Amino acid sequence: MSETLARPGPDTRMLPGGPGEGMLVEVRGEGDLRTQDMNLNIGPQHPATHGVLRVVIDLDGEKIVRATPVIGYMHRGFEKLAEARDYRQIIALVNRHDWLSAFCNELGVAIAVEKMMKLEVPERAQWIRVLMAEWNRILNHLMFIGSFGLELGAITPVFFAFREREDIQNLLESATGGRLHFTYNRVGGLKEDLPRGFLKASQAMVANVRTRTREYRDLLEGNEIFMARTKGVGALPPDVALDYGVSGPTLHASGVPEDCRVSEPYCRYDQVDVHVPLGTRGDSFDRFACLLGRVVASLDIIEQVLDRIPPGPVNTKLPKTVKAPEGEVYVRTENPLGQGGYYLVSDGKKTPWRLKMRTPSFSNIQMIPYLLEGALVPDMIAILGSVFFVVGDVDR
Amino acid sequence: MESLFALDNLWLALLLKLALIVVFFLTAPLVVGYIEHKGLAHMQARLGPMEAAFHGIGQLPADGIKFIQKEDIIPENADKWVFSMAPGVALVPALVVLAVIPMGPGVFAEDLDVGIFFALAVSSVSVIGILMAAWSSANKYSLMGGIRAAAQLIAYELPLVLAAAAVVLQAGTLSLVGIVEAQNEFRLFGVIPAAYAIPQLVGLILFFVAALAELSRPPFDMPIADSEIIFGHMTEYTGLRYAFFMLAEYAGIVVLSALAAVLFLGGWYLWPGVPLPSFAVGPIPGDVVAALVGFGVMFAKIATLAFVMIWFRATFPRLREDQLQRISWLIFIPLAILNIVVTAIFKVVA
Amino acid sequence: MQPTDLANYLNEKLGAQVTDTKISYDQLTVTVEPDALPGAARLCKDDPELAFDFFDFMAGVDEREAGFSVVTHLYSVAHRHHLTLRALAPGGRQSPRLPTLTGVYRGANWHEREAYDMFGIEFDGHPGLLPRILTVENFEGFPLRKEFLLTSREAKPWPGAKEPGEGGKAPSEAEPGTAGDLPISTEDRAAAAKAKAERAKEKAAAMRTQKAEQRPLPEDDPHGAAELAGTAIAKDAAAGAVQGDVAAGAPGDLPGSDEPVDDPAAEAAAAEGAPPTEEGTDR
Repeated sequence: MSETLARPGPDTRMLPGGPGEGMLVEVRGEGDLRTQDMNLNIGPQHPATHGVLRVVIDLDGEKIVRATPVIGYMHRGFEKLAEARDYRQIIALVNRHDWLSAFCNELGVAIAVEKMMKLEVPERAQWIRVLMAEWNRILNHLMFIGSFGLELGAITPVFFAFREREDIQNLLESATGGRLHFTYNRVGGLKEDLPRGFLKASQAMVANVRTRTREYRDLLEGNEIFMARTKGVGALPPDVALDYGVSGPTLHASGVPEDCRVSEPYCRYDQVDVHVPLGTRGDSFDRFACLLGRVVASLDIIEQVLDRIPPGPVNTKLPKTVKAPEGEVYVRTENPLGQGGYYLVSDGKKTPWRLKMRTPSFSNIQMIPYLLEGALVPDMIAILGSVFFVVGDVDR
Repeated sequence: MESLFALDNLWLALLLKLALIVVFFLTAPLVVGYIEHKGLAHMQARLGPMEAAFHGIGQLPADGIKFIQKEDIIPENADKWVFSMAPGVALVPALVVLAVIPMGPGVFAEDLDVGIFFALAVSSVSVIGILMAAWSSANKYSLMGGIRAAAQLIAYELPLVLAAAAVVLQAGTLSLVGIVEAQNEFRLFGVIPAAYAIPQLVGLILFFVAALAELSRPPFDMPIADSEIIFGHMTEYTGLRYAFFMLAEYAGIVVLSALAAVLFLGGWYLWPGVPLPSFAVGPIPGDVVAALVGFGVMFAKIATLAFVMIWFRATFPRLREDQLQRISWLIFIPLAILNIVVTAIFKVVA
Repeated sequence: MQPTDLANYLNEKLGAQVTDTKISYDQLTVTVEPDALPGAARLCKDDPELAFDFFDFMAGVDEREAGFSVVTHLYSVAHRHHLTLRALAPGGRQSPRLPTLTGVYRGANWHEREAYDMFGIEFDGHPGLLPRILTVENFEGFPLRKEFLLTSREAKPWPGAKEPGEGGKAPSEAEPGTAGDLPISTEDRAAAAKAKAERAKEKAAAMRTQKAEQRPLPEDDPHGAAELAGTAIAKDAAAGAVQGDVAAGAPGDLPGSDEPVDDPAAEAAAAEGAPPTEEGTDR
């Protein structure tokens, strides 16, 4: 394998002037025939990196010799901002780091604060939380189903996925008022009750999305070219995945059945049947198949929940000032992208002392150089598309 | 066959043919482009262009005007002359090939005796334009696109040529007009009139797929994979030069579809054995009527093949370049050679 | 294992290296000596009873005078138990240092880089803490330290620090979260809110009439759009972002007014602490 030339060395020289100016070349002796590696920046602006993720790769022809992700382009200081906000205000804040799974993020924070304050959340609110979390999961997964196909060149399923997303977003907007950032959770329950007719519309939407998943199966999972592009590409062994802290469909594809909804149920997940699709090889195809499987599993959960929501209040009366007692708590939830957690340290005041956001994408991206080394550039696109992440989640 | 446009004055005839070719060259890709916009859109559950003129038929002319008035940008590190000439080198061969393609009885510029040979040879020159664009752009993404293009386009020339060679073998002539006439007289098992699509089905599939790869159309659009290398060799191009590249791509679709129609689908005959109406309609003489109907039939066949190409684009993801190389060298070329051998055997025996 | 059993097991195995065990909200936090951290992590990972194979996260926490501590959260997929390993970094607030865990868990790499970036905690043996992972390369300071103030909070303190009706404390003196501990009765608060709102309205109206008298508006510009032309809202509207009444900019944009316009009724209602409604709507 030839040496990389990303950094200057004793025999390197910058080419002055003319075409190729500024290119770093290595001057070798006579008779020494080796090709030069190319250093290429994928991103921060690139169609395939789902946002401002930058991967610096050293290429030997089309094979990646070394890959280094560079993150931080979207760092907004959420954890610092959370330290200057009331416990109720951070719910609106955590909507925004993983904007595709806004409700699930809010849920984690709300549960953390409720746990610290030992609040009793009403039955109805818990069941509606499960319903909304599963709808949000479907929204998130539809986005990645579409964009994975798009990166591989299948330009049609993304439109179908977004058509479904529009319908579901309409439904959620009728209840929460938002299409992307819901801010529907409150400490102690929900903002307000569901509108009249929501559950019937939910039922109809479940049937609709279920028929469409068959289309995605045909167009993508059953497509020979798709299978040729993704099978065997980016195989992740389970012990490496656990070492890095990978979670979510990426972990399930490697065969590890770790799902917070099953191992540590929150809200009312212990009373619902949660099916976790598993893969065998841990390659990109398995990750995609797990994603599709999770959509169907979420539809099943929604159907189970629709009949079981009891009447009653949806929130509890909070004191005028919300102060969590001193101490720390860690709450983890199964976000669509993986396991999201909030480590909340309180010193008894009105704002948190420290809010650490454990985001699934941060750990998932850390694992990418392991998969990329030795892969071809088109495989890198398949791998980046199949390790589901949102850059806001990575950088917070 | 004598061309309809062979006037007594040689220079006048030349000018007329040139004018007609240029007009066809500029309008047919627009039709194909419109089919792509609307066809792709409806397949993707959306409408496509609706604002420009009636249901968007003015979209592509409007795009053309937009490209013409854009600023001419050449990257600083680019090789200026090569960069400027590359779109022309990619575009002109498509124009030249149109001279030999017959669009109807007598509707062609010249009936060369080596028609198909000329067409395939000249259309290969546009590959050089792509490589020129890729190298001179001073952009790593363009370079990668150019390298992929070089490998892919060379690899898929062979199935294209070999599939055409089998047809030539069956027809017994290299002239494109001759091939259409031969199809008109061809009878399968001595009885059924059939275009060469039936006996040469393998050849048709090979030719069509190789044409897709030659044009860098999905699923073979690795050289211009827009989610990986932005737009390959066309990344740094804007304005009129970019419009020329796009025109070259759509003109290539028209040319290769026309070749496929001529070689395999019976050319301007609706079906071999079915003669074209050649009676006079009003003041229009009979052969002009036949020419017009023939032109219509050819255009319909080109549009159908173009639609199939667009359909493939909507449906399939793209193949990795080592996979498509493997398909070409290990599957298509042996199949094409087998096709020729079988055709030769049938030709000798029957 | 239950948290108590886990605590006993770890105390047994690590002995003197464990300085503190705490179980709160059913979660175990074990504080170890800083030098013993890699050893403890290695034990957690390799011991079959513990089997902590999932590296959850590592976070720094500001411990005021004591310095910084680093919290490592581990999870076992097989046994389904959690553990939080905590270590207080020696070196106080000037130069906190800890040994690295990258030899034990590969995932610790980026988490330690983030702890360095946010707090300045250096990890001995880490393959490369620089370049800084989340902030810009030439960023000065460590953002999550408590002495690093949020710029927006330096300019203007957190509005929720004071309840409506409180007053007096200067912005620089009030720390977010420490004001508002004085018991003030609801009636007083409502009255104070009303009074404050009335004062603000009168003052704003006075300013407006004063300005209007000074500069009569031209006939073709009755709403005073020329005055507002320089403000940000007007520029946005001109750029086509907002169609509608340009003159109806935010209250703060009106030249001459420096008080936010309050709605006295809403303030009074909020001051009384109106609870969220308990009625649910029917399906």
